[in-house]
Amino acid sequence: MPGSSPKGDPGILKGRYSMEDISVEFRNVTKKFGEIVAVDGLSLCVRSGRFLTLLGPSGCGKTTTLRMVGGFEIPSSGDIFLMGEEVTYESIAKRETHMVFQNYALFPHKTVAQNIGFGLKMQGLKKSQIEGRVREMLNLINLPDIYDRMPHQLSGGQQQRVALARALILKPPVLLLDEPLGALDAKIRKQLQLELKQLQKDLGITFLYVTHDQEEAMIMSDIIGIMNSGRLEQLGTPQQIYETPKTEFVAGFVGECNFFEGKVLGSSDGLIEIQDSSGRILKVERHSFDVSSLAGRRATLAVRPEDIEIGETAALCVNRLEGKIREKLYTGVVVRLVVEIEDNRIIVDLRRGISSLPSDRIQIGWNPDVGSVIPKD
Amino acid sequence: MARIRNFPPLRFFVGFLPITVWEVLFFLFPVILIFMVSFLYVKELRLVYEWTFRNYAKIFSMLPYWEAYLRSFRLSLTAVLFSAAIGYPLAYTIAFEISRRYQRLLIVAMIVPFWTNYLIRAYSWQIILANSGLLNQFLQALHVIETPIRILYTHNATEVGFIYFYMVLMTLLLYSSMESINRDLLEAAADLGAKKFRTFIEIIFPLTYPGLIAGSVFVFILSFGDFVGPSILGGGKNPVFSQLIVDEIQGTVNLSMASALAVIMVVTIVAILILLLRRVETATLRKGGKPWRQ
Repeated sequence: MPGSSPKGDPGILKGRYSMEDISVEFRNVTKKFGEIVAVDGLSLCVRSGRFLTLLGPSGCGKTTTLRMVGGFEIPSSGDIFLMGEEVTYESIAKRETHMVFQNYALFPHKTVAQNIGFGLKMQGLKKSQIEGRVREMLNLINLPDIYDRMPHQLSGGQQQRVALARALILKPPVLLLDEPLGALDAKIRKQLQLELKQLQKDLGITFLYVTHDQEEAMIMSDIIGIMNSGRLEQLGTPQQIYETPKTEFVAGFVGECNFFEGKVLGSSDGLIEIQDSSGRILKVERHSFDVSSLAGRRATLAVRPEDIEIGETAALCVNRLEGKIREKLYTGVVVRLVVEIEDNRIIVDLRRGISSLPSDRIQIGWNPDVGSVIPKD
Repeated sequence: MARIRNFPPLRFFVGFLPITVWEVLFFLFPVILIFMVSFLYVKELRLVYEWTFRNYAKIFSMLPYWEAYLRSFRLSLTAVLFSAAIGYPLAYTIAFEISRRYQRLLIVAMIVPFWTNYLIRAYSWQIILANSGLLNQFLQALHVIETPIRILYTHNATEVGFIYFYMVLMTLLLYSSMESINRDLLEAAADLGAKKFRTFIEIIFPLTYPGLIAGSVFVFILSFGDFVGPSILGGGKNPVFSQLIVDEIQGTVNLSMASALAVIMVVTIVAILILLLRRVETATLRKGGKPWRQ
């Protein structure tokens, strides 16, 4: 470990890191199940005390990644480090990480107290010591009165909190959470999202969280890692992920996105110019791109629906297009238009106040400060 | 008229009819008959239709009956213990250590001998356990023993038979209850620091307890009522309880005495059934919020 350089996003690892700072590190980890590659060459560092979410569709390898940290799966190749020590082949029981399971996995024949105290019992603590710690945990999860209850007498939300307490009682440096809120209904899920986030801040424990719910990931995480077919597509803060997606997959998976394909012509006045198939030139800010390496290459311009203006405001924009309104959808928060421009369907989200809409042809537009360039290989 | 509206339609009962008729004719009726005959007595090979407790009085007052009863009880209980001792590791291995592809194969391999005729299996054990049988020959060849050990025609042979015949049931029931355990529970236990043996004690054993009880009921009842095994393997010198019943019928043609013995056997079995199944119920339902205790 000493002397090696981190392979994660440099934005997350500012400067030289010391071993204490990194709680979990993957080095070129691959996991195969027979012929199927579940995780493909993953390298990732998680700094201590961070809330990192692995986000992706089902089958993208996020759960396998999490399970390899806990020791439930052994990588086919590559190494995993926990708090600076290699644990790739360490047994589950010996690892300091603890897991919160999707279906809670509470022991059905044990009381809430016996469930929460299980880890301490395995460590050989005395009953009296265990009871005190269990009561502390019950206070922490705001359920002080369920000490003697059985898991089946609890609601889903309560069971989830008990599962959390059971994993946290051993004070793990890293807590693994595998879609812990997936089975709960929307209202309780929202509430628990905030509670979990707050708890993580208060305890200062690294949370490694897996979900397929992008909204959940955005709300809770410090860092999101987007995974797709076993690969880490992008690692960054929720804002980075949303505003500057690096691949079309990321742009499309997190929120809605419109794509315009074209060829990069070059840059002028700090703006990248992309020419689409019908010869229109779209301009976008450079951000961090090295334009000379992009020139002549095919690229996609990704623009969020809420960044697109219509009508008079659109006329003042740098990038302007004209199309036909195909659909008007009222979603409550916004009015969504589907605008057809040639064979591209563009989604435009408008704040509700806008009531008078042209019925047929419409001009849409946006300025270069929104949108991101995604180079094609 | 709400009650009539809730009354199931007639066709609801049609399906139950054959089994009801069958059960009444061939089970309930004979059992009642045996129960009644046990309160009659036999004089000069003929039933005397006069109510009496003399059969029961005789059974309870004579030592050989007590001995046979206790012998049966002990043999059946031992069979239960051995079946569990063999069945648990076997079921555990099949359920948790073997890949799913081979699980079925092993289960089938275990069941196939079970389909073989019971008598044939009993006689096969004679070949193995006899004084000049395979086991003794083997041990002599290895110079472990000089003279053959007498196993056949002792109840050690009966015990071997019981365990061999009924262990499969115990294993199957344990296996199916292990199969139904959510694997996440085992991972959670391991995650919280439990090694395999500890996980077995803390998680698997309590959750398979209903299976253990059900298996014990099966093994006990089948061993307790078995007549063929003890006769072929155990011989007749120290009869088990079921052999006494047969002796009463075949030897002295004392139907009422045989019936009284049979009633005692049935009462024993029903008592055990009620006792153990009630424990299964409390273990499975675990209602009322009380901490589950073994």
